Amino acid sequence: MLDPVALHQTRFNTPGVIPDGRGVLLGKLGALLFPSVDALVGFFRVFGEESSLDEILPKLRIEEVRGQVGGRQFLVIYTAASSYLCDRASRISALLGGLSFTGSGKHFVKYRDARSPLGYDARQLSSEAVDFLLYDERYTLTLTRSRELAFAQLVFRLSPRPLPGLIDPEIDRDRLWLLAREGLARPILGYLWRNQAQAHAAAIEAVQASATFGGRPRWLLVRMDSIEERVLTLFGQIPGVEIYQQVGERCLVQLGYRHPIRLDACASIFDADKLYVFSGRRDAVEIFSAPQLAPIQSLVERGFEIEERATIPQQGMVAGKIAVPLRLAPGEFGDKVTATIVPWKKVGWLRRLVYAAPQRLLQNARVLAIDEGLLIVSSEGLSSLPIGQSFWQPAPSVFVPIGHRVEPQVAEDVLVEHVGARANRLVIFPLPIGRSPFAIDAAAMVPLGRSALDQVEVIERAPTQALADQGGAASVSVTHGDTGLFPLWGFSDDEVH
Amino acid sequence: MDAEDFGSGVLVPLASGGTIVVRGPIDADDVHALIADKLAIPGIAELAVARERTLAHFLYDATPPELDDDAIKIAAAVHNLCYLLGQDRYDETKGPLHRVALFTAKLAKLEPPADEEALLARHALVGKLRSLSRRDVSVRFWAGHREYRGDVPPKRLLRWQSIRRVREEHNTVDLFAESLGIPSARAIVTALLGSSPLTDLLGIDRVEPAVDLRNAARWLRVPRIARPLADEYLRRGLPAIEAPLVTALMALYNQKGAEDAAGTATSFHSHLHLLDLIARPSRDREGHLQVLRGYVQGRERVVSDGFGLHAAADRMGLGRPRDLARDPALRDNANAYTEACAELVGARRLTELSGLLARGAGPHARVA
Repeated sequence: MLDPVALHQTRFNTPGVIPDGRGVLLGKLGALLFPSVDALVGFFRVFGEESSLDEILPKLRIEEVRGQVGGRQFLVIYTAASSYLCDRASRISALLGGLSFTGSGKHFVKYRDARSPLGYDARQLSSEAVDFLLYDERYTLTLTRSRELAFAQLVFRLSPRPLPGLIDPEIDRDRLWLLAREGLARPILGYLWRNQAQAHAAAIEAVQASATFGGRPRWLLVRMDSIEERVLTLFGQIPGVEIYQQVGERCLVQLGYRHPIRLDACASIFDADKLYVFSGRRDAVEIFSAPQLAPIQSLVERGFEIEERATIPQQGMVAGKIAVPLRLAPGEFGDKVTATIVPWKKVGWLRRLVYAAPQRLLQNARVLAIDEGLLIVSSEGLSSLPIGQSFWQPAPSVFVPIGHRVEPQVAEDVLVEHVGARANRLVIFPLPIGRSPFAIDAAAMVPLGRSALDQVEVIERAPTQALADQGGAASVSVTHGDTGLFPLWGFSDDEVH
Repeated sequence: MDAEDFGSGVLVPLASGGTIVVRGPIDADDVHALIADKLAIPGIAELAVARERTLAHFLYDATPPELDDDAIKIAAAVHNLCYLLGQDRYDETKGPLHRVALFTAKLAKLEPPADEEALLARHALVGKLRSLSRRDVSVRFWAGHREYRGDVPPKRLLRWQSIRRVREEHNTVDLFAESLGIPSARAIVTALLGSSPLTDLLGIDRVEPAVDLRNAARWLRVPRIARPLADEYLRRGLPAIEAPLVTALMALYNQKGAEDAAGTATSFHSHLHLLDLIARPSRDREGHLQVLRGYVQGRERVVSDGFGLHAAADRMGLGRPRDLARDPALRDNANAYTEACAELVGARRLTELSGLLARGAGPHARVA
């Protein structure tokens, strides 16, 4: 049925297969045949333990197939990106009683093994009208497709398995979440707050309400930044409260359970704006929108009054106001350069840098000439303009030198209001410390791109009459001229000094 | 060959593009005469402008190189290479043609460039080596066939086309590729590339011969050369140059006594990664990992090894300049990127690459 492939063999009976760089026969696709669901799930589990499943997930197909004599089997078809990937898949499938093939279309030959390290080629192709033909050394498997199973569907359908022992001793206590019925929200938040737990909470509802809790769609979700053992034990015993461990970025699996497939190894099947909750006790998976979490302190504090508080006049101070001047203080502050003042001495450098400046910078940056030099402002950042004094924005329309901050550290809106900054009035705190801030009118600024170009004289030209192709002139061609009758006669090859 | 033929038929076309007219092989006496009387070579000004124009693609402040002895030797070697490739029995291992090949290889093997100007001047001539081509004509007629390499067939052979069943085939031959298949010609090409390390580095994406980083690494320390070189590499794209660069690095690590070159080349490789990194918005580790998977998807494994090598170099203290830590945001971004590189290749492969790097770079590598 099969012939071993020889080194440097170039012709093959199997369509769509070629040897790769190592000489291993490889088709466009790889195929793995598993006799049962257990073996199929086991394969994804082991593969996920070793490396990311995202390697084989692009264009992965899982087909439920039947042979000539019936019997359900599973065929996993993946893109054979390299023989290294196929080697790994083949090794793991063999461990679980599966068979490994490579090929394209519907013809697949057995993948390489120890007896034929470069793979196998089919001796003769079968012309049976079936969906898949798998050629082995002693037989040819003819398989008919029953249905296709999406990998995401497989992940969502599998039930989380209970772990031996109630709680995993190696749980990551910084990645625990609570899911509780909506009615338990206030007592749980109150309890956590009284116990000074660091936590964030949100009210969520399932994207698609399942029948399990269709009547009570809203839940309380709490992310515990740290949790004590006694609190964990307590919540484990309260009906209606479930404890989850975070797996990957977007999945929660109930504590004490493990999903059969490594969820963090197949991150690409989960949407970025959703949260997937795998409950083991209820044997269900719920999909929520990504929660907007808030600190629990903000949710439980109450007893505020809206009446204005009476001011307490004190001797020597204006009532209600402590007049402290704003000042610059040095420190490691400033993350994004949004303005720069290029001193007049360095404007020559700027002229040269403009040639190398990216298009977005020239489009977005605006420039104004001031006494100190050229002030350039761009909301998208000026990291590609590494000259001059750089500024960052602690608040909208307020610019402070990089490496400094404004003290006292009042809120952004207070600072903006205090210095009178607006969208068209930019306030700049210059160095050295102690100089008064100044404001400029943003309307007077012009785009850097417009001010960068000098006048250029454009000469009108007629189409060239020259026949020579300028592009072709860059390459060098060789022609042989007259070499005489005996060009090698008297050739002297003494060393050249 | 006289000075006029050499100047207008070899030197100027080699520098500016055009047609090299090949005559009899240039021997040692010819080279002596050309060097002694180089001011008599016509087209010196034109040559200087053409070489400056070639360099202007690479450097914004290029100056026109002078016509020196090295330029004459390089042009003579290229001429003889073209002559040899035009002969029927160019691959013989003895006889006069073999003597020409040996002499030319010796002629092309120059001392390393003394300074940047010499390096650039050589590149301005050797840079066109890869674009050498020749148009061959093959004429078949009822009684046989004739081959004309870089030459036009005589008119008498093309007459009475239907009666004599004349069939003409034109073929453009890539001389650089052809020379790599002939040992004697390959030696000349290798010597020319060795004499012009900048040409060697700029042609990193060729399949053969591999870049000799041991010879060229010295120039990666010179900012005036390294900066435009890194710019050129990143213009072609990091994934595109990663495979040949990492292959050349691996070859370097396995050479004895090349620790200095290995350290420099590894740092330059990481420098490319950091330049590529700062051209993109900052991301966390997962974000970088997503970008890297896009880079390596569908490419050979050596590309992912390149990212692993950067992570290994970072562990060994070769992966980043010291002053990078002055900007906390940049430092965090670089840390996240390095972690993503390490995760991309996996712990086992990273350990292998670290071992290889430690052996190759010797005392320059230290475990951070």
